[in-house]
Amino acid sequence: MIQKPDPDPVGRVVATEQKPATPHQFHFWTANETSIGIGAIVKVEEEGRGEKAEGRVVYGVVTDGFAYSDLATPLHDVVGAEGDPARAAESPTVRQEIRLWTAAVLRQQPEEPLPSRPPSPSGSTRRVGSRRRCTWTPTSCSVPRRRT
Amino acid sequence: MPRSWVDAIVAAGVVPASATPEASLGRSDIEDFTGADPVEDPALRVHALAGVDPLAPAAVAFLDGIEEWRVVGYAGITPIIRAYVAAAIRRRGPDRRPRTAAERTEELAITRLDCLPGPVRAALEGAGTRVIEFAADDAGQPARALPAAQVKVQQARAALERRLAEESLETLGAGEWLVVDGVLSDSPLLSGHPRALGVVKSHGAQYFEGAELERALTLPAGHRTSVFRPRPRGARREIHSWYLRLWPWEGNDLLYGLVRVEARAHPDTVALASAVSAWLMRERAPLATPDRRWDRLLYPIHDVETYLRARAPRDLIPPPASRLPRTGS
Repeated sequence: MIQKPDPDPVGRVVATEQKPATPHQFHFWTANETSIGIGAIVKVEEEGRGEKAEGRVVYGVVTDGFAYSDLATPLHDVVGAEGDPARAAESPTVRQEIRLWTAAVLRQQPEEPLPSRPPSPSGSTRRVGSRRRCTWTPTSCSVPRRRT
Repeated sequence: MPRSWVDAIVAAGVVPASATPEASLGRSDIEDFTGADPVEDPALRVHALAGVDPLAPAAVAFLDGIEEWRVVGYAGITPIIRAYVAAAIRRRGPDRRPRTAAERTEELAITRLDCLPGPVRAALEGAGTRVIEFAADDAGQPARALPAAQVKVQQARAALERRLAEESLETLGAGEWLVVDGVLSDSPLLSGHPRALGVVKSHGAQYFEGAELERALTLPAGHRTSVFRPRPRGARREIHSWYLRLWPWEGNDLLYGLVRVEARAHPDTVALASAVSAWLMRERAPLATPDRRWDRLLYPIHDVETYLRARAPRDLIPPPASRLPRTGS
């Protein structure tokens, strides 16, 4: 079954000192409600920089996911709810949350040289399918079509 | 805005600098009001909020602003400051998540033009950046010039917040409230709106003396004072105000968890003071940590600040690198 890539970006590549991008993996965040999950195949497109630089396309498979908020320590949640777990759900404002995913690099185009995955803003992530399904069309890349 | 005007003044002979100010403090330019007139009670009393039904607005918008500034060069001993001020309104909907409803930003240069050499002044004025001058009396030692510049930055931020708040009143929905971080009395429109609230975290102004002052500053958690009318000075508008204690202060300083609420000068304000206070007590959670002012900072206001700082120019953020002189290697 062929699943066409999503037309709109579903995520944004980020790289920090604690979570750097490497030739083998990169990280990206998505909206809290997202179709991304473990096993999703994603495609990162980056425009070329400079006069002669080519753009780069990276394919990856999502291997891990993280969700966290701006809560500094669990104790602050206790203090805010005055020790009552039921009251924590009654707070008028929901904390800022992030959905952060880690993807293992499957392929890069062009294949040489092999730099680390640069961070956003140029690295928008599109979902192109899942590992269990046929993920690419012949026109988008030269990776052989996988059988379901 | 790109740093082209900074490059221009450097090319004109300004010595580059990277000194950055300390973390933002409270506004240092607020006039000290003296005295207040009773409104709700003949003398300042303490009102308990236990059992009071909190006001439950259908929608609430929160407004706050930020300022970032750094010295980017010296022309002789005259500092040239690059400042960035921003303000935003984030509206909280039924899903309890804030979303940006309006935003304004402005970049400024702050210096003393008549102290600058001709080429530097020409480069700065030709760059198209708005220039604000501090007083001539402060244009000597950096110990005077930099605090004077900081006051100008704070005034610019307050003015931007005021303009944004006044514009937003026209689009405020029925039953929607606007909560502003700071005073309302700077603005005639805000100070007269029935659903605008100012939440003041700093307490430089003194309104009471003696026993009333002690009653205000030792207010227990979950209590408010009587509504009073601060005596205005200059162009300040008339408003009603009261103190509210969000968290127990015992074991901390007197001002821990203490905020002053401002609303329009109207009998309805007195009638709603307890319900509004009970609503603000609910807004204590979630905690606005790791901000050091979390005991007086409502989380949605902290959310606006976080949003604005995430969008501020990165080159105004103090660099983590050492300020040791660079060597030839």
